[in-house]
Amino acid sequence: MSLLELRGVRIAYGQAIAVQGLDLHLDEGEFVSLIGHNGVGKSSTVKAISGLVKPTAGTITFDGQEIQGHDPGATLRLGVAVVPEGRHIFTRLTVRENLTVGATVRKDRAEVTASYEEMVGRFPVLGKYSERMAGLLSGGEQQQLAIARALMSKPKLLLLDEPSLGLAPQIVDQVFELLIELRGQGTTILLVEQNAAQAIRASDRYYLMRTGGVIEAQGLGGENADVASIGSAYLHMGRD
Amino acid sequence: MVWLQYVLDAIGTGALYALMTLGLALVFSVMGLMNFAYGQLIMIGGFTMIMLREQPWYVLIAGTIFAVVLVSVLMERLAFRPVRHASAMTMLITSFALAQFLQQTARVAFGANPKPLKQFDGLSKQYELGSLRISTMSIITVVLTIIVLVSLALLLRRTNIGIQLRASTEDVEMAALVGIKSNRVIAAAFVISGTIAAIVAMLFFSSRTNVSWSSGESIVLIAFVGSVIGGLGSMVGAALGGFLMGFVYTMLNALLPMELRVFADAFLYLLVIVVLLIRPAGLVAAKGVRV
Repeated sequence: MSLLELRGVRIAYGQAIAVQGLDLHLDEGEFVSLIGHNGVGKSSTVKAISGLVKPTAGTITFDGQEIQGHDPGATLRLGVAVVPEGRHIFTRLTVRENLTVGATVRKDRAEVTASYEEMVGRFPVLGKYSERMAGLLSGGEQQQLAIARALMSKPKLLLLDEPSLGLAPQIVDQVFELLIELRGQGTTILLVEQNAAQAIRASDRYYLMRTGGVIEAQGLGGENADVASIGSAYLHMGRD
Repeated sequence: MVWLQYVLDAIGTGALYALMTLGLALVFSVMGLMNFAYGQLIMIGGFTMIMLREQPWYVLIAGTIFAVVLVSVLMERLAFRPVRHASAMTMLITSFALAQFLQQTARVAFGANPKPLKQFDGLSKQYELGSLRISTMSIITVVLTIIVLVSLALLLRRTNIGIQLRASTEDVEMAALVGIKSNRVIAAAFVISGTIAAIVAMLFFSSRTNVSWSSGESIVLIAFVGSVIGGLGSMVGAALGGFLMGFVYTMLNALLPMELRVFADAFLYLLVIVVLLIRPAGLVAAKGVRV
């Protein structure tokens, strides 16, 4: 049984249809990318899964339970954590406070403290600047904080929306290395990304979305994936 | 030395105005609502004091805080929660309607004429330091203001609900995504705002001889202007803006020539206009609750 399954999902904002009849699934422990040009409905899909937007049709099943229309808090309690586009860290909270609010849905304070120690161990820069206002961190550091904040809820599924956006190429590489590492440790990941080449190489499988939120192609990812062919066939990318 | 006396008097008034402004500014920071019914919470505190005047002091204090916080929480639950996702104009009109409802209810319940409030012995006592005089009330007001400011800063910085409150004011959508319950956070803000309103009521009416159904009107205007010149959304700005309003007003009343003192309000608001022309976003421009 899939951990996450979307069947016939339709998302509309008034008359404007962002996603139409979307089907996709994700197994536990998988790293799946959802790629496509800007405006094809990728972020709307993330919002629907996380509970920020209610689909107008279709079902979203997570861990055997239908979650379409759940509020974001309820979805998070089931185990879906989001790293949103633009990071959305709380700039006027310290790094430590950002991590603390990431664990809002957890009750056991001792375990939360242990998770905090784990995060600052995994992301040393967050430990170094733990009492610094998060708005003062660099873009790359903020992205690490956004991912660490999401991990503080101990999610079963990590949803990332354009984590490479606005970052320098070197920092983007670090973010992808981190995602691969997380996947190696058993975290299930759904990555929404415009940076198709890196996303396909990093993930186990990919879905390629076109305008209207329809899946145009899907396949296996990984280091050996023929990214150039996929890109030239569907994304009008030049061959590297 | 007479100048120093004016400054001492002005600090007492400034501290009270700073408290008034804080309660209003906190709710604005959390849900973008300028609650014009805030003045009526203070008026309700005044009438509660009249009803509990013959009780022991601790019953009077606890009863006043309980009554004002209860009305504040009910206000949020019954009037503002249903329109939370409506436009800012809808919320503003709701707060005006609520202010009118509470005022007119008080008018029916307590009568159109001001109700006398028996003075509190001891609070009017004056201490002399050389040629300076300091009233007990001024000392209590300044000390309580400092206690409230420090407590609020500690609550916002050190407690989970405080951190969640600050997160919600900065990015309400992200706050929902990390599982913060907006209902709980907003209710907490109304509890804190109500507690501050009760403290303001006790300080304000302790030095007055009566309470009227219209007592809250001028208070909410001062708090509103104080929070605007301080910088909407900033707690430090609100306290500073409120303090300056009280301080400058007292100094104007003391220093203006006798024939101009009747225009003290006009001079005060002229200064407010000048401040806003120079710093349109207020003295401490902010995004989210800053402490």
